[in-house]
Amino acid sequence: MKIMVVCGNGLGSSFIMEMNVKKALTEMGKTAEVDHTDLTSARTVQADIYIGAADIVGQLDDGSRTIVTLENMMSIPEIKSKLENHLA
Amino acid sequence: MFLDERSANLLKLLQQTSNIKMSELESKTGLTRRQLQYDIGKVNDWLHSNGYQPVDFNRNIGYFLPGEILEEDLQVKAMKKTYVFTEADREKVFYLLLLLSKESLSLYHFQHIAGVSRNTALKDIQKLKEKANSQQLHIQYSKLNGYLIKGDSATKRLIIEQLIHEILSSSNSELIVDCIWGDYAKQIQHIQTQLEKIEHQAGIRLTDERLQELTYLYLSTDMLIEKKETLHVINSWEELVYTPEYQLVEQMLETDAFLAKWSQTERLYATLHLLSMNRVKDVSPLKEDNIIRDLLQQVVKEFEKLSCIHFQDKELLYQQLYVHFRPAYYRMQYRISAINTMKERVQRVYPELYHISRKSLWPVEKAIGCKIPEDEAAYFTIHFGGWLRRQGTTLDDRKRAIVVCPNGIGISNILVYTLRELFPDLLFLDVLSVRDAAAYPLAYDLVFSTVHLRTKAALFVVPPILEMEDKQKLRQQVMMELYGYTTQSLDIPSILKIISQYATIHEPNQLEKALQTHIYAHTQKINKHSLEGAEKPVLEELLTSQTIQFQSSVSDWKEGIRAAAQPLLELGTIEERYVDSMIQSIEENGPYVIITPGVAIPHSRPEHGVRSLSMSLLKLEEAVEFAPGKSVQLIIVLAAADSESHLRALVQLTQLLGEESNLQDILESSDKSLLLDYIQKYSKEETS
Repeated sequence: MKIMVVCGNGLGSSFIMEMNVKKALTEMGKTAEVDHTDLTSARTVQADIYIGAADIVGQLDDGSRTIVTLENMMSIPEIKSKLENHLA
Repeated sequence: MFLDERSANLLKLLQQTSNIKMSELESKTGLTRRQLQYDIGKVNDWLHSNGYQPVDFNRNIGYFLPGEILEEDLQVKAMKKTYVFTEADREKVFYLLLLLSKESLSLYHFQHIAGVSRNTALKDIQKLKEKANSQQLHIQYSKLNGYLIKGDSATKRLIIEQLIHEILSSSNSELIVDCIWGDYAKQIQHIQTQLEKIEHQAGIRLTDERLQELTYLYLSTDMLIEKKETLHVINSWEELVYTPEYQLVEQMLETDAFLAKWSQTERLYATLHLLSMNRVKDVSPLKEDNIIRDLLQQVVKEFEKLSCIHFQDKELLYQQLYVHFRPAYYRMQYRISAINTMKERVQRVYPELYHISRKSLWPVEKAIGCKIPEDEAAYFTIHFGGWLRRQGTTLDDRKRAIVVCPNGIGISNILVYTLRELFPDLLFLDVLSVRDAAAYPLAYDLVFSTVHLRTKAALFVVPPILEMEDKQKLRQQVMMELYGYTTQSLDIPSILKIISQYATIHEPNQLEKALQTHIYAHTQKINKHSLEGAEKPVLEELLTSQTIQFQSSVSDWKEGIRAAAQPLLELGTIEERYVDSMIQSIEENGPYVIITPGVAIPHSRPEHGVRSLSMSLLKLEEAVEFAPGKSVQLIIVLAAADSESHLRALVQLTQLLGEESNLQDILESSDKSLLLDYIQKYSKEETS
């Protein structure tokens, strides 16, 4: 399982999200490979789940990718509940 | 057949260079293509009438003269017989006439001497009036006395000195000299003989130009004293009475080469100018000249220190420098300006050498109490450069480094001192602030910085004070950078070839990819050297009272970002365009920078205007909407210099904002110190 966190520049918010996703995964007792990148590179990177702010990952949604959008990227409960459906 | 000054200069230029392109002509003369074509036409006319072939042109090599032009034709025909004064020449001639003439001058005098119409002469004098005014001199006219020039006698002297220098170094000096001093040929000869005698007695030899300049200066002074245009007593000159040159000047003034009675001040004036003229030889014993010897030794020591070069034959160097330094010292001490025509060329061709020479001159600056003029610094550059060439050392092949340190001057000095000791083979050009580094004009190969910077040169991030282990590590890193392997030497296809000779490769594509990532990762590391103490600053180093602002409200989110970034613009860590880029990024991608309700971290890519890693924070009392329903009270600008160095602080910021109660506390309080306390507390948090 590979989770790619995406943001506009791949420097700030995606890294913050990556940390919070990792934290959420630990709390859920799940393991997955988590990485972060910017929007442009995200189009060429393979991952099982793309996660990020609605404005950003919305641009990746071509019907073939699994997209998770976050309202509050600092909220662990939100991340947990949204990831739950995709993690077996 | 006339040839004006501009065309005569063009002809000289063509004579000196075997072939020259239009673009070179333009840059050398400062004229436009049109003007040059016009001048070439004139030159051709002149060439034709003097029996030469016209200027030739070849598409590949440019313009050239097909035949050699005899020197005497150039001198006589181009300059003397066919010469007409240019406006600039007339200005000099008229100015000097006004300053020196014993008789009253009428407009007719000016017309006659320059061969121009009444109108032109009037126009010239009007212009000269303005120029004189700007130099605190005033040209007046009365029916009875004609044209007169009024003003301070010391100012007049200064202008006469400059005019003499300009006239003697201009291309048609002979004619102008003839105009002004035509009646004094005998006296000129006399004075020059006297000066040659002084050279002999003092054991010096002036350069030819200076000898000539001094001759005309003494002649002019004699003329001035005769018309009672004398200098006031200047106390600071009195110590010159004790120089041997003063005695010689006194003896010279006794002779019949001079007509006027020179006061002591005038004698001192003559002495000072004799002392300050450049010479090619000086056998007066250096050992007796303690002040100058001390200063010279200090300057040479400083130069050796800054350039990390050791001069050989130092005694000989001192002797040679002394010849130049003695007059230069008097010039600087008594504020006599010297024009070094090679200044710009020196600065352009030897920027590093010039830079270091100028810096080495601080002991002289201290002694004379003013900055060394650029012209004088350029002279020293020439001397040091010549000596280096003599001993076969050049600065060119040394690696150049700058040190960037936004800390105080004390810290910067310690850092630079340590680095110099650590890397004697590097040329350290300067210690700079982040802002200055961005605009630094000289080229450099290495940057030692206490902050993370964006630079094309190899960057080494160091703590301001280096400990023993830091030094060893840094030394290894620098050596690796300078003498270790580079990416080019690791050419993957050739490595694969070598491997295939000795082993069977099962998956060549995979292997190639793996090698690529490995080498890439490795070079990444090499290019971004940083020592642990300086590596990845903590939150409190970036968010300080200097970069935190509280404000009641902003009109919209764009203004919010601009306001939040202001401290970083002032510190010079980001450029204006970085602010625009942050705004553009949000316009394109939406308000993704809102990491949690109420908090936005606008940022863009390092290459969009980041100079060094930095952060700033703006707290608003009244929230501003970044998008409908997305209001923000905390705007934290992040300026990352690369993709790594900011992460430590970012993690700490996330941890701080991750506790909802913290955020509430911060938003509710109007006390900066509460926010700073939080920042300090979380700066101690370490990532797991």
